[in-house]
Amino acid sequence: MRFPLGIRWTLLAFALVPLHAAPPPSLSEAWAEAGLMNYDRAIRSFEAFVDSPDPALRRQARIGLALALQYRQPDRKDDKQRAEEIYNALIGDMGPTPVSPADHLLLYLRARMAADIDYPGDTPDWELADKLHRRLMDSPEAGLYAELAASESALLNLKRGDPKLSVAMLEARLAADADNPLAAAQNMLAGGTELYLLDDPASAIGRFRSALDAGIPVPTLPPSYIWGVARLADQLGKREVALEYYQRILSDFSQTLYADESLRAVRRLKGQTPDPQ
Amino acid sequence: MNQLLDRLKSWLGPLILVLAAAAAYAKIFYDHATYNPPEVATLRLCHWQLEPGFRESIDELIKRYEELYFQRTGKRINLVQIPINGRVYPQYVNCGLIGGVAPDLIQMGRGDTTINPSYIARFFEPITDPLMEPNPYNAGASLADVPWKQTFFDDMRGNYEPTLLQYYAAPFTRSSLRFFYNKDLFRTITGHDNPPSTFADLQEFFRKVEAYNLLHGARISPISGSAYQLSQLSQTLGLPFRADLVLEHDMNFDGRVDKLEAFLAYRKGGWDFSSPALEAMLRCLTEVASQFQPGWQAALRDDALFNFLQQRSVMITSGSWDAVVIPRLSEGKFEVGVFATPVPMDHPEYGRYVRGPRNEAGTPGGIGFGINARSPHKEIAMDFTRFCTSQAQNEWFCSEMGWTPVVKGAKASEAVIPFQPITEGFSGEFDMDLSPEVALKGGGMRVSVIAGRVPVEEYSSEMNRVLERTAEDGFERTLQQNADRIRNTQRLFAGSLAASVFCDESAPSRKKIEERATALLLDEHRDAVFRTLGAAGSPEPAKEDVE
Repeated sequence: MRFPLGIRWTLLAFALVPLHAAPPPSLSEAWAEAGLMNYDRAIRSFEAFVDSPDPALRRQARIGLALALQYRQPDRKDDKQRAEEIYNALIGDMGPTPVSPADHLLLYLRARMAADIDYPGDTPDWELADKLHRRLMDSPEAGLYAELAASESALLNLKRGDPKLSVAMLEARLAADADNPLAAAQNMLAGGTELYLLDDPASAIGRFRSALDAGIPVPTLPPSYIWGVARLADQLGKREVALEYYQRILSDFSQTLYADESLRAVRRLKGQTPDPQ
Repeated sequence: MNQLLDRLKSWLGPLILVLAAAAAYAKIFYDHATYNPPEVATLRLCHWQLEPGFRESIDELIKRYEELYFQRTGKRINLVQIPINGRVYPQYVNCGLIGGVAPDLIQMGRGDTTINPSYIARFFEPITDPLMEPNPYNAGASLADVPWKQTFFDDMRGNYEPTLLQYYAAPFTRSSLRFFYNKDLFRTITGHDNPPSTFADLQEFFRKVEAYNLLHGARISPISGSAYQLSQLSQTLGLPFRADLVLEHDMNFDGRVDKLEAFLAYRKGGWDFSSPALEAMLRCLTEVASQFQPGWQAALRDDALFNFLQQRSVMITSGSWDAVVIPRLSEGKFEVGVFATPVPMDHPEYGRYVRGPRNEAGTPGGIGFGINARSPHKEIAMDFTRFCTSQAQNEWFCSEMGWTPVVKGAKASEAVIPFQPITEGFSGEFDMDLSPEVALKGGGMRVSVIAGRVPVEEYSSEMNRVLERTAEDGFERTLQQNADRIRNTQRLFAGSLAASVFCDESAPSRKKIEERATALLLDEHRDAVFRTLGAAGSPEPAKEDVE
């Protein structure tokens, strides 16, 4: 097929002159796109580095690519399988004990994939998730990742229908390090399980108090938990605890909707005889 | 001569065209030079607040800020506000953000891109870090050394984006709902000046209007209403009936009962549409709505206001955003007063279920402007937000608008005093719409009940049937929606973790990561707990189903 002369010249001109000089992608841009959940762009940028001669860059790009595929929407089986293959290959190249933050991230993300339903028809592999969590928990360098893994493992036990084991796992973690970076969260998880699934509000009160003492990092939650401790203690007849926490609402969160009920409760409790306990 | 004229005539058309084009170009260049002058940073701010006075007050804030900026830096900036009609605002903002041409400052709260966390994360700049520093425009005031976040009445808890765990907009004001009344007409009918402070007073007022109409052959309705006003009454008068239900079934102590909690409470027999409190609530609303003008069901918000301004009714419900507007519109005709909705604590039947008014302490601050993440002037936009929400400017702005200030220590004007948030009572946020069918059927039928066309009992039994048929599916549906939200939180969390490992510049702080981890774990825990509790109470599958 022959094109007219004019079209041929035009095509030649387009071929010779680049329409736009696209700047080469950088990994930091790729991470920024992934952070904004623009996974299509992130994938294109990461893919430009997966065969880089620099092994560190190559590894980073592969982790990024796998992460972007893991979370790209819509959730498609081929994306998730490709992510799984990349993760498995990277973990295979890793030593038995994770040492670097990138190793920890890798194990965490792979465990996440194993535990979650990532696409329609996916079946979670909780055993693999447990194994990966265990590797993180056993790593002395893992820090936050170890606590994350322990908490996620406890949640898996909850999903398996074993709330007691879930609480025991969190308890063990807190006993080992009560000041760990996720201590507040672990106390809240254990307390919630005791309150909702184990029918043990007395123990839940103690956990929620520990969480408040550790400092709940989500700024909207402390008033709810203080109110919760006060209400539960009030229901259980723990007058002193109830009074203490109702008064905390009045002193620290007087501009919340809990204040009026707290004031009524304080007045009511102060009119009663002291708690037998 | 004729030949010359003919020649001129033949060129007249093109000449007119050339002149018109020249004028158009001149206009374009002039507008460009003034709207977007070179060497001057131009920032645009868009909103849908078309109330009288808002644009003028924003213009004054802009003028003050531009002057201050010039004094401080020696550079001129040009801040332009773009008021957009609320009906097209979502399209304007959505298209602008997706096309990369949206204004620098965007009022949040209308349109998917300013509501949905996935879009907010992409298009808006978080202001969390600046909020932790003092607002420099509070220098010299009592809040000089206080972190900006803590200068707001609720420490910004109401403006926290719970999925993204960030703050994106600082509020300008907070709103509350009240009754506005025609003082002159009220005095003529009742013979006194005291607006109803109890429900019995309100009922007495209804009787006096009826007597007045009979005596004078008048057709004045006590309240001007429409579906819009009814939704406001449902909040101020309806929600207090649900406070005890909230106190009883709020599992996570957040002061509200969401769909999942409501489902579990329903399944264990804690409530249904025949619950005495809910039936009493409907009876009470029906009683009050029976005092609306005839045909209110077909009226729109503006029709109701028009009816009130024409003095065909004595009262109307509205919000603090109308604190200045309604008196201005009625100026020269009648005097306007304001009072809080009297809740029926004193009523022999309703009083059994109502322990206090609807608590407004949890009402978040409103009218916040998000900073477009692609704005070339993010720093100036942030600084302008700081300026507007300083104690002095917030006080001035709110006194101009007759609105309630949100910055601690900012004095409220006289006009705003009746709108100060009510801090008595408790929340009544109890989400009964357990399934789309319940929401749809209930929404339509509720108006018919309140309009007096359907008896309350008939509504309750019909809604109970719908609930029985669809609540289980609705629960599953809500769980799925939650799972989708959790997946988004996971996405953001994974991004934060990766950034902390591989990026020095954009790495979130350790505290932020701990915050995100905690929120994610709590969400997942809640999901697991509700799935367990939901499954625990589900009927055993029939043998043939298993097989």
